[in-house]
Amino acid sequence: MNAHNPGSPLTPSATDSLAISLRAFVTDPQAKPRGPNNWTPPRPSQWTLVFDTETMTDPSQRLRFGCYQLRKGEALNETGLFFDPDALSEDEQGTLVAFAATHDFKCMTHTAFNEDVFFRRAYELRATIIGFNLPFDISRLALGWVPARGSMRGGFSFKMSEKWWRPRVQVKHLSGRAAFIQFTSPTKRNDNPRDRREGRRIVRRGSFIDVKTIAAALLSRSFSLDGLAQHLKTKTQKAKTEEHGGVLSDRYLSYAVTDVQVTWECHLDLSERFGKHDVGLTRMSQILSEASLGKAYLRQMGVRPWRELQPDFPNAVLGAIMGSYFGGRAEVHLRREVRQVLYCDFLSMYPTVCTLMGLWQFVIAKEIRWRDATEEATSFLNEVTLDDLRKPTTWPHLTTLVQIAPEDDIVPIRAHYG
Amino acid sequence: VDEKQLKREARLQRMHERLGVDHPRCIECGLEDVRCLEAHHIAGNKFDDATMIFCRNHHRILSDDQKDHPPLIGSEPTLHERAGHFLKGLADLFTLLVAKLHEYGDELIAFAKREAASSTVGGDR
Repeated sequence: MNAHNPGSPLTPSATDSLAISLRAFVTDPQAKPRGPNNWTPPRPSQWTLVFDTETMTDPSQRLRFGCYQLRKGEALNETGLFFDPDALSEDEQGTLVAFAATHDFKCMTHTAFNEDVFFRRAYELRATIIGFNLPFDISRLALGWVPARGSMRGGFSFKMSEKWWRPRVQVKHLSGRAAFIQFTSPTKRNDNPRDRREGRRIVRRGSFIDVKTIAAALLSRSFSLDGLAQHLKTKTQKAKTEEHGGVLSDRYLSYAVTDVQVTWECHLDLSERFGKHDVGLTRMSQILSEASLGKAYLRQMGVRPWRELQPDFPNAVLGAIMGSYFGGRAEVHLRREVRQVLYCDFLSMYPTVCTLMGLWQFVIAKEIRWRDATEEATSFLNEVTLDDLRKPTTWPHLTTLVQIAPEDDIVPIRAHYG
Repeated sequence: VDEKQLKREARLQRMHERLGVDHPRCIECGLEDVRCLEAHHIAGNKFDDATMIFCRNHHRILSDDQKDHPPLIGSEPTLHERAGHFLKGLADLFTLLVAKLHEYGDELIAFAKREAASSTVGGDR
C-alpha cells in the first residue's frame, strides 16, 4: 500500500508494502520418532595437533606452506613445516627446507602432511585438532571438495587424501564465528575386523577446536589471533610481519611458527577457563557459541528438554506459541526524517526477560497444562494501567497467549527492511 | 614418535575407543592394562547392549557362566526375557564379587593377625 504525501513531492511515501514472515510449527508426518539425544562425543586422547597455514595473497588464497605442532598432553612431541611444491619456487623450497633443518623441524609436502600427520597421527591417535579459524586452514589442505550430505547438508565435504578409505572432513558454517567440523564415517577398510565381526561400528568423528570459536563463546567477543593473545596475555605474543605473499624468508617462517605456538597457548588458557565452568557432560569441542554454553549448563543441571518430557503436547498450541514469538525487536518511531538519533540497545535481553517474567518455571517444568483464560485476560486488560505495566510484580502475569484483532495498532512483525 | 611407537599408540587408542572410557580397569581384579581388557555384555549380547569392563580372564569366566543361562525363546527377546537375562548376568557378577569379598576379607583378617602378633613380640614399653 502506498500513500502519497502532496505537501512534499520529494519525500517518499511513509507507508510501504512489505512481505512479512510468520513463525509456524510444522511436523514431518514421515519422520521417525527421535529418542532423547544424550549423545556426547567420545573424549579425545591426550594428543593434539595444532596447525596453521599461510596462503597466497591473491583471490585464490592458495596454500603456500604451513606449520604444525604435535603434542601429547602439554609436551611437544614434534614440530614441522609443510608446503605446496607448486606454490613455492625452488629457492623458496630451499629456504624452507634449510629453516626446518636448522630448527630440527620435520619438513614435508602438504599431501605428505595430510597422510602422515593429519591422518596417521591426528586421526588414528584420536587427537584434538586445533587451529585459529580452522575451517579456512582445513580447506587450504583439501585436495578437493563436494557438497556435504545428510546432517551436514549445506556445508562442504573436503577430500584430504588420495586413499579412498580415508574419511573426508565435513565443515558446515553456522555463523561467521562457528562451524560444525567432523570426519565422515570411514569406509569398511578403516573398520577394525573384530568390530565388524561383532557388528560393532565405531564412528570416529574427531575432535576439532577452532580457537576463534571457543574464544568468542567464552569471552563474548570476536578476536583476531593477535587480539586474543593480547587479551589473554599469553607468554608468546603474535609476531608482526609485512611479508605476506612476499618471497619466503626465515623471518616469515619464524612468524608462522610463532602463530602456531600462540594458537596453542590461547587454547591452553581457554581450556582452563572452560574447565572453571564445570560442565563435565559437555566437551569443549561442542561449544560453538554462548548459547552452547547455556545448553551445557542446563544439561549439567539435569534440565531435560521440555519436548522430550511432554512429546504429546498439541502441535496446534505449539504453533500458536511459535507464532507469538518475536526474538529480535527493532523500533524506529520516526522514519525518513533527518534527525539526531540516539542508538539504544540492550545486553542479555533473553536472560533478563526470562528472570523478570518468571519464565524459569517453564524451563524446568515436567509438564505444561493449558486452559482457556479469555475472561481472565479480558478482566486483566480492562483493569491494568500504564503504571501497573511498569511494576515488576505485573510482568509474571503476562505469560498468556492472546489473539488480538489490531485496530490502528502497531504490532511487531518480522520482515526484511532496507 | 617413530613408526613402531605410532602403530602401538594407534592400537592403544583403538582399544580405549572400543571400551569407551579413559581409564578402564577390570571391575573384578582392578587390572588397568587396556590390552587385557574387554567389554562384557551383562545379559549376553543377544539380550542387551549394556556392558561392563573385565580383564580377559574374568570375561571368559562370566561368558562361560552365561552358557548355563536359558537359550533365546523366539527370534527376538521380549522385555521380560531381556530383564530375566539381565538379572541372571548380574547374579553371575555378584557371585564373582562375593568370592572376591571373602578373599579380601580373609586377607585383611590375616593382616590384622600379623599386626597383633608383631605388637605382642615387641611388648609394651
